[in-house]
Amino acid sequence: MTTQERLLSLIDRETGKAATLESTFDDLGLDSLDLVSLLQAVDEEFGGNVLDKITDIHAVGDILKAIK
Amino acid sequence: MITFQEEPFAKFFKDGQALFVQHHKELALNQEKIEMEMDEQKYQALEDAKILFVLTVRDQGYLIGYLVAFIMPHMHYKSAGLMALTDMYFIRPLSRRGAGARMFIEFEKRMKARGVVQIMTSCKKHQDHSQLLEKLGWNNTDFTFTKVLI
Repeated sequence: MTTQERLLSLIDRETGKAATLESTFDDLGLDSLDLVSLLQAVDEEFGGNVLDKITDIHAVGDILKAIK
Repeated sequence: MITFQEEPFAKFFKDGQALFVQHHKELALNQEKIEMEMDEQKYQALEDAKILFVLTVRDQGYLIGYLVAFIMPHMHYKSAGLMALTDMYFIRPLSRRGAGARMFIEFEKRMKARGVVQIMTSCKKHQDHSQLLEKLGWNNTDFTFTKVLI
């Protein structure tokens, strides 16, 4: 499984939404609490301190860049 | 594109008028007895004294939110270093998808960069952000009580 596939699978698991790299958090209907929970889950699985980079992260593709 | 930046009070105050009204309507208590009237001169004096911190949130340059804090040594812990206490924060409802979390993380980063040793904030019971703040590592340490006397 590639990093991208693992990330999309994690997002599906955490939010119940099928995301693409272009999906924004607005598209996914995430509020602040959902977003923080998701990024903490990403940090746990991939590292990369993604939550700290939250101000630069607007779409799923930005998360992928941050963890690579 | 949402951006976060520190701004001079005067610019923020000029751009923020509509948001202040929205903020007050949504969150202020006892509105029928206590009117909103922000003390521009006092805020300006606090900025001149290097106590005021204004973080704005803009979308394509348009003001959509803010976090205002006071930064100074605590009166009870004079030598402990700078401490920051939020005065007010708000994100307009239309722009809330994650912007609040981003704003608090940005606030924390900027306070760390300034050498602030402790940050303090609060939220309304009818607009409870405890879960979010706790997820971001804040501890719930106090209860606040209010009694209107007029």
